[in-house]
Amino acid sequence: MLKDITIGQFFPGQSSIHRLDPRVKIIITFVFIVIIFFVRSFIGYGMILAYMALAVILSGVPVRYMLKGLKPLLFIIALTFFINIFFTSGEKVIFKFWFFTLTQEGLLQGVFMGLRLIFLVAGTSLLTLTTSPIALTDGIEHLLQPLKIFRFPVHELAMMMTIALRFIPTLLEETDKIMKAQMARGADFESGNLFQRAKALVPLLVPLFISAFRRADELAMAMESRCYRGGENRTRMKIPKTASRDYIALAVTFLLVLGILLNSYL
Amino acid sequence: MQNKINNISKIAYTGLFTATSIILTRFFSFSIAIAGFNALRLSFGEIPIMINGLMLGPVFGAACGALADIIGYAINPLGGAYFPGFTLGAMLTGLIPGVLSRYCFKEMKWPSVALIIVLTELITVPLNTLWFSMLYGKAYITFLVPRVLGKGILIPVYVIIAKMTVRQIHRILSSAKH
Repeated sequence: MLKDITIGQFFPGQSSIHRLDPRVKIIITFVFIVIIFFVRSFIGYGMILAYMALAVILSGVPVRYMLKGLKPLLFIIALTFFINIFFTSGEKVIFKFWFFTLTQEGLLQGVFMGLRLIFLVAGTSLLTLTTSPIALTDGIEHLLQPLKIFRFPVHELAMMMTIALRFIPTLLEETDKIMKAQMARGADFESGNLFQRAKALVPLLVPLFISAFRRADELAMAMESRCYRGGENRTRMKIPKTASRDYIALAVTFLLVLGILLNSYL
Repeated sequence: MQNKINNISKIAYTGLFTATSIILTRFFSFSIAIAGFNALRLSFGEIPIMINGLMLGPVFGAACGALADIIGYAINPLGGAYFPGFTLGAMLTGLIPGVLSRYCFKEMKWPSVALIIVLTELITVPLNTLWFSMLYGKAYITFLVPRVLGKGILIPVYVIIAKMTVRQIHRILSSAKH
């Protein structure tokens, strides 16, 4: 059940998008997520498409690889498209059959929703395709640094992220072990209805949580015995630096935001 | 229990429970197929976040939820888009049990655990519905109905697992003390 698991969808490369500062990539992705909700016309989506095409070409990630990532979402995109098409009321009726009424407004709404979803998935997955999980968590930690002024525990949060990333493979192995042990005792995880399948997981999950707890206990003891005292006066080996390409990426994103806002509200 | 654990242990517990939540959500979920497609995905990834909130309080509960959503997306997006609203929902999944166990239900008896989990779901499910409606427009209702039904089936199992785990952890902590 837990075979062939790949952690992360990072596509290794040395492209200019790969080499962008992870902080800049995170900021750009957030701006992209927000701005996509402000698009009101096809011209706006045209701008998004041009921006995305430029990013994908520069990243060197094969388009086929990107489209493969959209495959699991195909059903949701199709459903979103059809429901918005047939259940959006409007005045200009194009087609009517039984209780399905296709209006011009509905068609537009369906296309808009479908495009929004496709661009959201493609845009956010470009971040994870070109940034390794470690670089991503490093970037988040640096972005949160200003919150230290409000006594926000930035270092502690970064430490939790590091621990979580470090222990995912270990706990996956542990899950596999517990699963095999319970199966040897006659547990059946794959048959029965939804409730029976959920109930069958109790003998797997409770030992898994207890095991995670024990590991955390040992880890805390090891940290304490090495005099871990949090982030006070700690230095870093690698300090991220912004380069000219980061400013160019930010400027292009700013132009996209400006273009969309002008197109939507003027 | 929340005050008896030191800060370093809290960091370690939260890290490990975040990892457990990511594993359960991203690699160990089971899907229900409708018309040949995996239309509904159910997982137990919320339980470690809730347990973390119950054990360590609202701050660490919320941190566990937020980190599980962000790192989980970085590790395996499951073909979906990143949306900050779901991070907020995941934060509340840890924050609400933390607040309720700290201020309202200090004794972790069966009814209080059940009530905490039901209240958490009552707040997070409608909130996540709002994000769905933003993402999918009118189609959100088709995702909501099976989701609510699935949650209805899973809540009793959530309660059993959370209560059993908290009881075991209490035992471990009290035996370590003696």
